[in-house]
Amino acid sequence: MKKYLLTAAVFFAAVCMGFSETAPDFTEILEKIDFQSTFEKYDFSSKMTMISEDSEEGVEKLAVYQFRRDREDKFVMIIEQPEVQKGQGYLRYEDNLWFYDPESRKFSHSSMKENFSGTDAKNSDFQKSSLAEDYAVETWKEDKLGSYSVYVLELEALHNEVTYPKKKIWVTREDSLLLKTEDYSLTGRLMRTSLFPKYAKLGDSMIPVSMIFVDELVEGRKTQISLKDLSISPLADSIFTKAYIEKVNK
Amino acid sequence: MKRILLIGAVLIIAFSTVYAEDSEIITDEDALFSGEESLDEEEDLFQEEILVDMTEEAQTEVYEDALLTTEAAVIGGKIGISTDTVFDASDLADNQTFFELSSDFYLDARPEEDFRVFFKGAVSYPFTSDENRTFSDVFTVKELFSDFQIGDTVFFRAGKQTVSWGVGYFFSPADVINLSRIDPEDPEEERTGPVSLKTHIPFSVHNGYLYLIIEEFEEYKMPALAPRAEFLAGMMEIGLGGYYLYDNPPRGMITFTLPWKDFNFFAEGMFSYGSSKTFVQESDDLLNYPLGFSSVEYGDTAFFSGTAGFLYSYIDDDSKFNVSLAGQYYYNGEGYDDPSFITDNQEALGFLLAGEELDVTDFIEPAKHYGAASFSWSGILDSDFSFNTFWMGSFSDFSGFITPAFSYAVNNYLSFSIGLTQNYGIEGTEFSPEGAATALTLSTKLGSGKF
Repeated sequence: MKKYLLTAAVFFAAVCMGFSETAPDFTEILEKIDFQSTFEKYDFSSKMTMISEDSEEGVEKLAVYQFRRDREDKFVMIIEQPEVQKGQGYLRYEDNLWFYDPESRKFSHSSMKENFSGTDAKNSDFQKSSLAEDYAVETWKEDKLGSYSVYVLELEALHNEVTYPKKKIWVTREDSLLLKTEDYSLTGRLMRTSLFPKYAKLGDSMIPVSMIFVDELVEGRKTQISLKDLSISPLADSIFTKAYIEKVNK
Repeated sequence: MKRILLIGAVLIIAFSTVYAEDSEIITDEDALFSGEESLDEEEDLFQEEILVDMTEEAQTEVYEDALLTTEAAVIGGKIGISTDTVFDASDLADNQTFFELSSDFYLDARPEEDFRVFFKGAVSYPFTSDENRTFSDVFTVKELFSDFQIGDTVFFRAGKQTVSWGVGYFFSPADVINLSRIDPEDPEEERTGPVSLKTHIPFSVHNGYLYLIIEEFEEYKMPALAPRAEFLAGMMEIGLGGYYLYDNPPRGMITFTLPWKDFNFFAEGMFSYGSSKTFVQESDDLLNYPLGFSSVEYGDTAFFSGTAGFLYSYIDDDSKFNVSLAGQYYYNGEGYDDPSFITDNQEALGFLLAGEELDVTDFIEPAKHYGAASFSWSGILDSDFSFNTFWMGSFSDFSGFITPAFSYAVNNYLSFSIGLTQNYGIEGTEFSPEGAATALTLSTKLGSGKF
């Protein structure tokens, strides 16, 4: 009898502890992710290498220079490799994105939702993060990802201007680093999995220097992005202009 | 024997190196987030600490000039090799084959951050000139210019250069600067520009340009002046420009571009006071113009031409529907309401041409209303087959043509296509001077690409 009472007491205590666990402030977590991945105080530049694997197309490599000024909602990206795309450039200002074609020497608008230069990365992956503005947390749980304790959050879009209407994200409990995301369509179909296994701390910001995007719809298709030559030194205003993109093209 | 073994060893090492560089992207989450040193080749990814503080070095390093200088001049280009056989669909024995071998090549030298020299030339087969083929048909300088600047505010480009002026896709009436017109069947093809000095002053996301254009060097002449300003208002970019050359009709232009979801809308208008074109009119002066037509110039009449259109592209997440669509209407204010008189009175117009009162360029785009559209579906259902079609027509005489074509790409360097060209319209119209006709085209592209 004593044994049953003891078991019941332990069970009751466990249940009480479970109920008393308070949910973290997820809005704060999303805001922290956005804050950490944004360079409000500094300009940011780096050289990105994108390796895309496709079971049919094989391996393709892109080298891209990126320049960001998040406080003014601007970025510039210049493709250096492969030769067929050399000199192509993107200039973003707020919701405007211009694509420069060095063959016709013309700028044209393109959507932020488009895939970046044939990879699994989206143009929107290179703008500053706005999870707190764009999504609401629907469910959460604690879990482990590898050896890291994480929160797993299911997000739903608050408006239709986002690339994916539903997301599932894995965030470290200790310092709110985004380690993994799953992107879903409106019908709940898994479209893409993204992994962020390595970060660099630059001032107050933390930026993934290794990103892996897995296309869940086309088997064997994935893209790995690595960043090097990271800099938060001030950039000239002239970089974020059409003149600079025309100057550096082939 | 030793030599063979040595070569074999070198080949194995070389192959192993190449193979090792074909890195496999690791997506195993336990390995990626183990927090331990990885035994894998991609060990850079899996350091003990997922977060590395790089603030100090990132504050001192500057890479913004990395793209502005090169240790040596860069050489590149593209080669095109293709054959096209065109059959008359009503008589397949009546056919013609065209062979194209051509190459563009460029040299890009950047000795200083603020000085760059660029040259682009083109050569095409056959590599000889004769009475039917001038030297410029064999070899052409497409661009030759240098870039320099004053500080970080005023940017110059001096020399022969392609000019980005209008915003139209198939037609661009505002573009009176480039020497070649847009080819509606190949609207993204590079165009030939004039010798000019371009001054570009960006202010925030807005831009100001001034072109000084040299028309010819045979005698001193004031260069043509072409200022242009681009303003961004929300999502709409508005361009205002002008063109002035002494003794020529002054022109003004306005352009609009507006992206909306997967669409890009564009429009442009061109105003001119007078026309550089010579027109044809019926004449009662049968003594001087016995065939009843004379030429006339309108130096003090205002003309307006305008165009509007859209581009649309869509690709689904499965890459099965990678489609693009473009459409454009063009009002040609310098065209004729009824251009059929051109084909109806060829003898009379030949008389004016022979007397140099008219030039053949006066008959380019003779109608007032045109339309063009294209549709392409690349990699149909994620296959190696593609479909594209192009339509162009005149709403003035209701003639035109449509060219649907299927293509199959073996790889990036070998592709085959089969297409139809169907002309429509009554005999004597602009696009069907001999009446409706059907042609079948078989094309092969081999070994074409950029280098």
